This record gives sequence, structure tokens and C-alpha cells, in this order.
Amino acid sequence: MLGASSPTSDSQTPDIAAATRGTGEGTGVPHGDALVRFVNATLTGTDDDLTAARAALVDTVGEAGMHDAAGVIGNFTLMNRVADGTGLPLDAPLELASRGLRDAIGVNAYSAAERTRVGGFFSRIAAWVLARLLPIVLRLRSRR
Amino acid sequence: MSTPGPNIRADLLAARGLGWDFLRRPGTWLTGAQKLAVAAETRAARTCATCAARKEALSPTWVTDPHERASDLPEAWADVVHRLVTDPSRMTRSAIDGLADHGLDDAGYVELLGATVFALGLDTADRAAGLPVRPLPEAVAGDPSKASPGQLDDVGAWVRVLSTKDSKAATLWAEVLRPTNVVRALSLVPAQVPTHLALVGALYLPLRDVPSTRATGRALSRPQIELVASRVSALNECFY
Repeated sequence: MLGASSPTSDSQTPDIAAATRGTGEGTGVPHGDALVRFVNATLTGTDDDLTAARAALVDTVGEAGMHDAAGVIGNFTLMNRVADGTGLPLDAPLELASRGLRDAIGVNAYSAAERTRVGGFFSRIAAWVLARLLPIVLRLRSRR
Repeated sequence: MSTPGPNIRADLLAARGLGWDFLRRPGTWLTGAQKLAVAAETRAARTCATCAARKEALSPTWVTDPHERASDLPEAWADVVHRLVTDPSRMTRSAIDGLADHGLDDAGYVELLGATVFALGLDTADRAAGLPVRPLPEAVAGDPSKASPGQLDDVGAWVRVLSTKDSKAATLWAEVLRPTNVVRALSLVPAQVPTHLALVGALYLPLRDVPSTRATGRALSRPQIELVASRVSALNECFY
């Protein structure tokens, strides 16, 4: 999803590998470090960590932005468990479109990756084409 | 902890109310009281010593101590709820199969899962935002409807999902041209789909806006939203 959102503008091209490493530095996203610190504190930190991370985030993106971020954390806490709790494989188009990205960020090593069947030669070609077309399609769609 | 200020979106506040109201009402296979008991177990799991030991163990089945409980749900139900909360990436089909001996078939499990993730998602958003823990609401009395789901599809998941050819599909997924697997995942209990999508629409983005690269009506930009989403999924080791 981060990869899909990346063509928004040249100044906001996020580096998803940097995002998954955990510090938020080098993501190319404004205030990325404060956002990642907020996620880390919510899901793995102490109450004091969270209080400090929340205050730092409010200082950078404002209270409304902090509430947006809190909602997104709640949503993906929910959705991750929907996927893992139902043993859900990736949809075929999503599998093709995200194959390169999954290799780059290492999620294929997760145990749940076994649930998704990966195709052969022709699907690799389709994935290569799709990975190049998708950002163009998304950019055109957003201009409408 | 504080009360919500004026800078929290009205739809975000409304979604919290809608979610908890759904949880307190009788469902398709669970009563309102049972769904709220599930919510209580999601809260207990956060500090459960057995869950912490399991998370560290090479296999979750190696730790068999009882959980620190917050309800009178059957131990097998509570065990699955605790696993979903604290160790979701190692959830297995056999854990779901084990519920059959304790009165929950696949559809019952999907409703248990729905109650777990709705309560956990809302509580997590509140905790992140510094809002106080919401007291569990009063359960609405009544029996589950036991309504048949309708025409089903096998998408390769552990549980079947509502077919896009079913007569209810056009209404349930009116927002999207082609619902993805994760959007259909809880639809073995169709009655919980509207609440699921309403929560996603408020906490994250309405489904119709997901294919766009923008985030209309949000204080964060779309790349900022996706950065948060990606970090959460990485910490949860979620492949999807």
C-alpha cells in the first residue's frame, strides 16, 4: 500500500524498506520519524513512551493528524488479524502487483507467506509488467 | 489520558460508537453478552503472562498454562481470542478446528474473530490517541439470529466467504467494484460486514478512496497514512 501511494508527488516518494526497518528515518515522508515512533510506542512501548511519542507527533502534525494516525493504527491492528485469523491468501492480482515489493522488504519470510501460491514464468512476466504499469494507472486515476 | 478534543473527526467518533453498539447486540451465532465477553478477553490478553510466554516460545503449543481470564467464556474460545490478540501471525487452521468441540463451527468462529478485531481495533485507536479505556456497554438481551450466510466461495482461506454472486453482495460491497479477499474475509457472517467496512472507512479510508493516491478529508497525507499502515503491519508480521 505504501508502494501504491508513492507516486503522489516527487517530494513525497516514500521508501517502504526504510518504513519497515522501524525508525522512520529516510522514508521520504514528512514527519515519518515521528509517525513511526508513535506506531512503535503504541504497539510495543510503555505508557510513558506513548505519552512522549504522542506529544512529539502533535507538535509536528497537529492534534487532528495524531487522531488520524491513531485511527490507522487501530484499523491495521484490526485488518492484520482479519487476514491472519482467516488464513487469507493474497488475491492473484495483488500477489502479482506486489511481488517485487514483497521481495524488497522481506515479508516473504513471514510464516503467513506460505498461504499464497506464487506462479511460474508467465506470472513473473505479468508481475514485472504490472509493477511498472500500476504507478502510472494510480497517478492518472488520482488526477481525475 | 484525556477526553476527545475538537480536533477529532466526527466520523471517527461516530465509528467508535457504532462499533461498540454492534458488539453489545445479539449477533448471528453469538449473543451480545458473549461478544462483550470476547471484548473483555481482548483486554485481558494484553497483560496475560501465558500469552507473553507463548510469544517467546518456538511453538505456541508448547505453553499450555491457563490464560489470565476476564470472562466465563469456554477456555477454548478464550484461548483463540488471546492468540488472535497477542500472536496472530502464528494462528493455525487446527486452532479453529478445535473450537468445533466447544460449540463453534466456522461461522461461529468468524463471528468470534469479528468481535475480537472490532474491540481490539477500537481499543488500540483509543490507547494511541490517549483516550480513556471505554467501559464495556450493557449487553442487549436476545438470541442469535442463526441466519444462513447464503451462497459461498472458497478463496483458499481457512473459512469460506460470501460469494460475489449472492444477492446480498451488491448491497454489502456497493462501494467497491471488486472486493478483495480481505474485504470479504468476515463475510461468512454477512451481518458483521457493514460494521467492518464502516470501521475501516472511518479509521483508515473509505474503500472507494483506497485505489486513489489521495486522502480526502484527512489531516495526514496519503503517504503518511500508508507509512503508519506499513509500520503496523511490519510489527504484526502481517504478510497480507
